[in-house]
Amino acid sequence: MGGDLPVVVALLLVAVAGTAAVLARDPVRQAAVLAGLGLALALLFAVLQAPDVALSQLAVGTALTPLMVLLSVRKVRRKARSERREEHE
Amino acid sequence: MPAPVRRYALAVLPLTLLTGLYVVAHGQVSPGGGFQGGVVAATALHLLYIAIDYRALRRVRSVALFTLADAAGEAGYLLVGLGALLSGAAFLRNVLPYGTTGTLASGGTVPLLNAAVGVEVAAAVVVLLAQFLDQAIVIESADGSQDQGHTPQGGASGRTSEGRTPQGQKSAPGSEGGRR
Repeated sequence: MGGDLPVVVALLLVAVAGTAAVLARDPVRQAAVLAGLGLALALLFAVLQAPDVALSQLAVGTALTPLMVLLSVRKVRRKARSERREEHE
Repeated sequence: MPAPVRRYALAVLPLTLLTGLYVVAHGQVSPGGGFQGGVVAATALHLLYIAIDYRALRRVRSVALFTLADAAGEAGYLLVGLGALLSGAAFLRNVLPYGTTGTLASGGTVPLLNAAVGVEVAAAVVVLLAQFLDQAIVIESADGSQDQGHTPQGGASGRTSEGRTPQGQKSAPGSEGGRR
């Protein structure tokens, strides 16, 4: 039972991070929380002795996906801002 | 970007690239492989953005060339599989000597497949990020404002550990959202 402790901790971490990702409403903040969730998932996979999957999760879930979300949000915001500026003129 | 961050990014750039190549090369003996190492190697290139600027990154990153490398990696995987067919075995069946278990020279065709996947994934990630970065940067320069809030942080993806606590993130990336 004592050996399950890391798994339980990692699972709890994933649950907390996942809930936080859902509750964060601002897309930018959500991307940051998503990176945290990816980190927690990578930890869980490593604890469950799947280091290969943990590495993939670290690369894609922690780095690539939040980055793409951030860049998309940036593009959308710029577009909205320039359109609003055109309306003012 | 503050100067220490730039120096750090420049210093870890070759290290990150080496780590990526290491993970690809040791795919058959340790955790990792073509995909994981490829992503690490691709993020190494984007450290240039933090270390110098976007123009420097764009100079070494010819999208056409990386698209070609992407296709070449895929073709390499297919050719290794077809090579097995040519030598009379089934598709992707191992035809090379296995070597000594636990050393780099082991695994038959698996290291070759890992190398092909590594090239393919690294090139694909670079091309993918190039499309996203190009859109964000073009619009920024058309806008004329110098707000570098998000993309450099995104470029730091190789060592992203931020965002572990949602509270700590409220000021940094959310600042632009607050101005909405």
